[in-house]
Amino acid sequence: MATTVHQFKTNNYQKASLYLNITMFGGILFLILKSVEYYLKINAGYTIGYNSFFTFYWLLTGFHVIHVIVGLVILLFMQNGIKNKTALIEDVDASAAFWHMCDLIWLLLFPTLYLIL
Amino acid sequence: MNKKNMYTLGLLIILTIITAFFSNHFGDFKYIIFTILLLSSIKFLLVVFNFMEIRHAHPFWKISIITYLILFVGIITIII
Repeated sequence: MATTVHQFKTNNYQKASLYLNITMFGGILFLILKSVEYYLKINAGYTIGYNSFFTFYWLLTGFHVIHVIVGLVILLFMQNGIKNKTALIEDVDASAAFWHMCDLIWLLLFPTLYLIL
Repeated sequence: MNKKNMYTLGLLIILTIITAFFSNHFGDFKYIIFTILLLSSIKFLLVVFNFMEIRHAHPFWKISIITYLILFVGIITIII
């Protein structure tokens, strides 16, 4: 995403679009992995009411997944804007800030939920 | 991809691998938990200052984000 912004600022719209596609691919890959993980957890009986940990697990990761989906929709609009050359640098910067915010949340959520607890 | 972003991405991947190694090969010692949180904090700061360009922002934002990180890591360390 950072490279998309960089390429957009240097008026290299084709490369900006390419890096944006790569970013969106990463987001979609994350959603696929989460879907598989959720499927396995539900099948194993680890639902939201299983214990306190899984209540937090489902709420925290679920809200994160919702934010990633919203981020992907924003990036889709951005992709359209870049292709039609209607996107402004403020739009690209704002969507990048949202995407990085999702990234930051996951950087702290992942070790807390998956590695430590 | 410009050099700064490339180096940051490389460093993020290396730190992720190190974190996974620590998590899988050592027990639930408190210092390991703190190390994992510390490595995650470094990753957090790398994204904030290099990808989000907070380094060019007003000091209020820099102080806010660092305060948030210290509070988060502190609270998790105290809880565990």
